[in-house]
Amino acid sequence: MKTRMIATRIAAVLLPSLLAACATPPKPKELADYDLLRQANNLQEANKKAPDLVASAEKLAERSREEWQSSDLEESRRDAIMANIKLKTALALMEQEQYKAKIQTLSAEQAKAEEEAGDLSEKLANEQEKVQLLEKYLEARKTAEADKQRLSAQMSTEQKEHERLALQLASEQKIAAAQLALRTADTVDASKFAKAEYSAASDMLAKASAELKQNDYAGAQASAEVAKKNADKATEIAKPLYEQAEQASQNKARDEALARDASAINGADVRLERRGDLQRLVIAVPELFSKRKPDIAPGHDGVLSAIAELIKKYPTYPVQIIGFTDNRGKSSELLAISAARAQNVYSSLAAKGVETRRLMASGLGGDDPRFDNKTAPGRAKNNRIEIVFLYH
Amino acid sequence: MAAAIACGVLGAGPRAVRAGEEDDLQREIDTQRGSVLDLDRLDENKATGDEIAQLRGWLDEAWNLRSKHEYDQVREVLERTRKQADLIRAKITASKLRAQATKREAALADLRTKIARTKKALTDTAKRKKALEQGGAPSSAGPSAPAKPQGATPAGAPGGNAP
Repeated sequence: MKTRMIATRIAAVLLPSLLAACATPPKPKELADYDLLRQANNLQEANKKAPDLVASAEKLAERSREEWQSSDLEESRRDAIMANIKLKTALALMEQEQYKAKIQTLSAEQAKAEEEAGDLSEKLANEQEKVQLLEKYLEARKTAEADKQRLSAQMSTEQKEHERLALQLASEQKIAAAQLALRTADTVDASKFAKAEYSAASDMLAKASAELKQNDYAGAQASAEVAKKNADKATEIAKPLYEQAEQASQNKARDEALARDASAINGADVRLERRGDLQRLVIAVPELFSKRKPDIAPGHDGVLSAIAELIKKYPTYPVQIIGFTDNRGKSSELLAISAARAQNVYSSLAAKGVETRRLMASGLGGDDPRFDNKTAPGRAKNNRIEIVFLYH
Repeated sequence: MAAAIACGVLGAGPRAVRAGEEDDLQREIDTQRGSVLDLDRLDENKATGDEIAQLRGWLDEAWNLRSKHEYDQVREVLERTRKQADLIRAKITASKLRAQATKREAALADLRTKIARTKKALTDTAKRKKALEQGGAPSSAGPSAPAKPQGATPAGAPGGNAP
């Protein structure tokens, strides 16, 4: 009994040890790695590329497994390492092959894409060139259109300026014409002789000048025309009046000069008379004749020459030569003597160069005595010749 | 005497053979260590950092085993390192090919983007041309200058990113 108990106890201790000694050891890590590698990759592909390597790896792995099963762990580990190396090499070679194929495919695709890109770039360049040409054309057309419009506007402006200048010039010319007409009116003193017309002309001219300044050319022209008409009318009205006045002024001066020159003649008496409209400058030359004789007494040539020069100096005056006698004798005889005396003086003056067409000779006898016929000196003075300058 | 000589000759033979084998293994380890540096330089994409570290570790293991005169194990480890070096070379080549493929993919994507832009520019240009032909540029047709795709290259020129 006791022996049986001891045997049971020994069995209980030794059995687990024996069982433990007979159990498979843990799988080596290298072999486990190999199995994982194998599961994770496509061995068929690797086998195509490197069949020897794959076969060798498989063989080593199998041996490793056997060694593991037989607990020859060190050998198992070594063979598993070699199997890993060979399988990894086979996988790397397979990977190389795959990448080579991929590179080849990519190269083909790249070549195709480059060709497509080249074609597209060429097309794009062509289209862009066309677009650029179109843009240039449109730009040029736009520029030309703008130039045309600018030039048209410039021409229009210049045309307007030209028209404005033409109107301005026409206005200035009309104003100048009106000014000239007014100056012409001034020459005949129209402000005095045609006051209304002259004032109207002056006012219209001032208005025209103002309108010109305000660039109202139409108004300026119209005003200038009216001013000119008024100025012309003023001139027309004033001219005869002015000439008359001027003539009168000139005549008066000349008459005064004539009177002064006549008074300077020695041996003659000068007087002024008015008969109606006529003014008379009478140069009386007494004692020019012998008693009852018509001939000019000697020694009086000087006074007659002076009178002849006076008549020639003032050539516009008609001149009467009137002979006079005293009152002694028959009237008819006295008239004849006086007429003869006037005729003789007429001849004498003609001989001295006086134009005879200006001379009128007549005798009045004893009419119109200037001195007292009752005295001898008075009668002597009444036997006279009178040279009469006639004027208005 | 003769027996002594014979013993000497027989004893010296295996020692000389062992020394020669040790030298060969040392040269092999040194050579492989040198080639690890070359592989490291070749790995521009740093795709094999773990493998190279593992290789260095195994070469160190081989060196230690050589020091312990475990020549069979040294040979076994060196065989493994040679295969590891082959794996590293294969992975480096694969990584370079992967980089090249990635570059080409990017270049192709750029090219396709460029094509899309050029097509869009072509459509815009055609619209603008039509508008100009009708007498004036439309306000919605974009800027007055003809549409030009970004980064467009002259006709027929290759893409800028092509390797």
